[in-house]
Amino acid sequence: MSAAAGADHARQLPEGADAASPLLEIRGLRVSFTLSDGRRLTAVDGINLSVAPGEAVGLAGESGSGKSTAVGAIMGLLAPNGRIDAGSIRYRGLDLAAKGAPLRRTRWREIAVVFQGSLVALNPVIKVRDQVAEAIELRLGEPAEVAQEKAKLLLHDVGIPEKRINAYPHQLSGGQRQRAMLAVALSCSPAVLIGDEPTTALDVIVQAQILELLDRMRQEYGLGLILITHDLAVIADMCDRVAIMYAGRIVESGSVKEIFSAPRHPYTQALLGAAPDARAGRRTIKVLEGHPPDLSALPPGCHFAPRCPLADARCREEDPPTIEYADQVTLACHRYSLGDGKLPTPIDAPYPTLELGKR
Amino acid sequence: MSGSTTVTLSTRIRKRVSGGNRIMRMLLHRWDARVAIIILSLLTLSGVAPEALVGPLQTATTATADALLPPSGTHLFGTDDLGRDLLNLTVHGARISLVVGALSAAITLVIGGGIGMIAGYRGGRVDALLMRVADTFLILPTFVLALILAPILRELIGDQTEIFGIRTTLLTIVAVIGFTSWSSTARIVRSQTLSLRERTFVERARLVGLSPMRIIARHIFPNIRTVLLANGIVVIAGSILTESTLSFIGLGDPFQPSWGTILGNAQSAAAPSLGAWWFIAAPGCAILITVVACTVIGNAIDELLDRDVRVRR
Amino acid sequence: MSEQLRANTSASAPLLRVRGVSVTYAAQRSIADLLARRSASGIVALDSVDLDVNAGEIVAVVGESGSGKTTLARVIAGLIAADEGVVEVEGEGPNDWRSVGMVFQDPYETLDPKRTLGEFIAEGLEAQGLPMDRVDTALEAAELLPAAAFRDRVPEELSGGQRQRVVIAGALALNPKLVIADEPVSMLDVSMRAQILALIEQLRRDQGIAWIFITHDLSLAWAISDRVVVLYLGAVVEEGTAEQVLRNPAHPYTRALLAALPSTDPGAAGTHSLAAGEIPQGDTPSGCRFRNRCAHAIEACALTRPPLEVAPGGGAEHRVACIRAAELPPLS
Ligand SMILES: Nc1ncnc2c1ncn2[C@@H]1O[C@H](COP(=O)(O)OP(=O)(O)OP(=O)(O)O)[C@@H](O)[C@H]1O
Ligand SMILES: Nc1ncnc2c1ncn2[C@@H]1O[C@H](COP(=O)(O)OP(=O)(O)OP(=O)(O)O)[C@@H](O)[C@H]1O
Ligand code: SF4
Ligand code: SF4
Ligand SMILES: [Mg+2]
Ligand SMILES: [Mg+2]
Repeated sequence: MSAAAGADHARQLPEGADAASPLLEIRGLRVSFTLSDGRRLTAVDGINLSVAPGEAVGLAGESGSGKSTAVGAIMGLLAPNGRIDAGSIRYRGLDLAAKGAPLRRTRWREIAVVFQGSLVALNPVIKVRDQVAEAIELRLGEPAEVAQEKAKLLLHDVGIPEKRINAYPHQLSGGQRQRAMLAVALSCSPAVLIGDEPTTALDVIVQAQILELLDRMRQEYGLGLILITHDLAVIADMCDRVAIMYAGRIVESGSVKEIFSAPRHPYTQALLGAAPDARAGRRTIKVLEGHPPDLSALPPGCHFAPRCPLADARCREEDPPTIEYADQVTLACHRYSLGDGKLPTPIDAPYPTLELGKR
Repeated sequence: MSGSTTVTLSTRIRKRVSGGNRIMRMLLHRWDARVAIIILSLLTLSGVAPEALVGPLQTATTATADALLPPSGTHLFGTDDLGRDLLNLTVHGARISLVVGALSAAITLVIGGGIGMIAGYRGGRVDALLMRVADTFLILPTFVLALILAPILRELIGDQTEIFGIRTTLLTIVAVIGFTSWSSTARIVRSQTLSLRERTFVERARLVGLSPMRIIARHIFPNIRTVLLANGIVVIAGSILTESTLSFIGLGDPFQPSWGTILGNAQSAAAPSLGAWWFIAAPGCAILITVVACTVIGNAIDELLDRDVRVRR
Repeated sequence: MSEQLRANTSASAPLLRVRGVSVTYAAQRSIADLLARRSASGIVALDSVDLDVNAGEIVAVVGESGSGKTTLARVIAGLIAADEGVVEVEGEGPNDWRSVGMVFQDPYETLDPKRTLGEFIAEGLEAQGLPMDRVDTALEAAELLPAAAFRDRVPEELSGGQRQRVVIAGALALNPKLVIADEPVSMLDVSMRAQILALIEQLRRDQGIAWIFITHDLSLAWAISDRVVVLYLGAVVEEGTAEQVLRNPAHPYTRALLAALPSTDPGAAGTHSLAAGEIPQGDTPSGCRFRNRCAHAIEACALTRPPLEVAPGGGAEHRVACIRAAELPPLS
């Protein structure tokens, strides 16, 4: 990795930040939207999430579970009808969620995002090299020639062939465009990189290439990486820790090793079991019926109860509290009681299974 | 894909009704569109029931006031060279202007919409041919056409025919405007149709064997309805302007004074040199306000549609 | 497939027979082309593809983006004509059959936002003169229950998974023998995916419908299909049963696809060995199409196009187009 791409100048922390504090730490974040009929919808309901330098954290959950809303809150990019109701988002100790938020204008220097569907995010009439250079010029205040030179190196680093760097976005393949987006995101040498479904539209080979690139960036720059996806296999390959979201809450979190080898929450079990796996030769899948709840009209009790095979009367009345166990595992399910703080044994939720390909 | 997986149990009826309401609600969110809607409602009211507002249309014989009186308490807009009350004339003129505008817009939409959809859906040679025809109509000088069409139409439909209370002379104007303005509508509709044609639901309809005409009726038309509405409102504005121009140069009907006719009268009565500004101001402002109001609403619908599309993608 | 079905199908001709199908998309001539009086070169999307599908069989077609999967689907459905080759369903040409249905990738795009679900399904029935009571039967077959509650809804009120069911119901209503599903679940959540996969398999079992399941996700191909066909740059490079192709891949490209697959299985993770680069845009290499990305390429690979031949050590249905297939190291 060349020096040009970013980590050359020692990171200057923004004013008020504290190098000893955690890199990014979200506590009790709650975000709601006002609907056109005046009701409020809580899209993110008290989540905790943190990432350390060089660490990769996965955030998974079905469509509508609030993943992108959480990113919006971190970046100060919530839709006009959305607002942060509670909680803190601390970057090196600075609370980004506080009133008169510090870093309102400059947080993209510290935290960068790559979204799904990069064609819309790139300007169609400007060459990719110029777009990256422009970002460097504007954000880091580099003179034009230096910025052009840096842009070239950065595009090389993300794997865009040299002869393609003067192409317009539509002349690049989907994978190349996504790399160009990554180059724009990395142009300010951020400390945290958030990928919101960065590979969802891509096919397996390009996806693998992009993921490998992200992984390299993380190791070489010590980037904190938050990877949002609904594909758990991607998280299994990439991340150290994982948080599973359902209807605005994190229902289970912990190290990838722990959660993937011994999933405890019934929803985690369903997500993990729902996809077949050619590499592991698994064809039997768990069938999770129904669909996520309407967030503007949530029933009392556990949000997952209508779809949960383990649900009982208590689940339909009382919200399960989130309990922290050993090894940083958290779990929100009535079926697991606190006990002595040791990790409880997983209970297998009896989902209907489907043996596909049974001739 | 939007994040919404909400399933509401509303019925189809409610949905269908709320389709039109939705546009209205969205329009009412914008102050400029709100003002324009109020203005157009008032104008429509005067077009529908001018007698109720200002009494029967005054003619040279029923005029009671002195000629060329400036605006005053009794004659809010002043009087013209025959002593007719300009408020009375302008309010009655609204009917003619609006009806002519609406009728020509209807012709424009039917011809332009039909040809645009067929050209866009069929593509290839049909498209090329229809678009050349459209181009030809685009460059036809409106008022040469009016001079040619007037006798032909009179021959065809006779002198005494009336539609919505307007007579042959004005119908000529309607026809002329309709014939000359459909081509731009056809272009807009064609480009919309071209992109709709590539949508999966149209491809699927083709796959199951629906005929082109049915595909146009069921899938293309419902999806460009709002575009047509926006375009139609803008066309009304254009028609009102064209009608005014044609009436101004004397192609109108002296017995059915429109705003353009009043302006023409002002011109022949040498109102500008006599300093009778109100003679020009009354019809002039009416035209201006109507055209601006129509354009505002048309553009607002257009913008809302645009945003709709962006949000969905 | 039941024993009886198998007996039926092996004896008779295949339900779908595709032979030597080629499709070239005309490229726009650039100004440079015009000045040089060149004709535009065109994009070869399919190059002499053969494919058989038997009644009640699920065949997965896999390959990268741009490999020609959708083009193949559109040719088989009769939406575009092949430049060369034949497509037959039960021995009939594309103008005569009505027994091929199609399910598209984007369920949000396949349903006209302005029309109800009942109207969507009825439209095919009407066009083909079938009785209207099939609307409810189809909704029920796609497990949209009760049918009466869905008939009058508009797409906006449904989730992605439900929409895809409606699209499937629309195909089922026409009594198809074969349904082509082009990435039918790639836009859906995992839980919705499982439901659709279950439905596809159930329809095969209960109604004997054959499916062509197009996907770039090898895990889905593995789970759902009897046979797998691997496309690369418009040509079949490997085919065989799901076990043969995905448990014992013989072509370096199939191996690369498999290696690129992320897995939740802790034992399987972290062995990425990638085919470098991306699918070439423009000219197809001479000789083996895959040679500019192949880790095993040798000079001989540039000379002739490898034909599709029985894979070494495999069954007769397992065929591969690679001259070095026999020399490749076994998969760990
Ligand atoms: N601007 C908004 N106004 C109202 N509701 C919103 C708005 N943005 C998001 N929502 C709702 O908030 C919830 C969470 O949405 P969000 O986009 O964060 O989900 P997600 O987990 O990112 O889903 P996906 O996988 O589809 O991207 C959804 O129910 C969504 O409908
Ligand atoms: N209408 C078209 N005009 C010109 N070229 C086309 C057209 N449709 C497809 N192509 C080209 O043909 C090739 C095969 O495309 P096709 O859509 O069949 O691939 P695919 O395997 O379905 O890819 P994906 O996984 O991205 O859907 C590609 O190179 C594509 O760019
Ligand atoms: S709390 Fe009850 S309903 Fe919720 S996940 Fe646990 S067992 Fe299921
Ligand atoms: S023929 Fe040669 S280049 Fe082609 S796949 Fe086999 S080894 Fe690779
Ligand atoms: Mg999202
Ligand atoms: Mg495709």
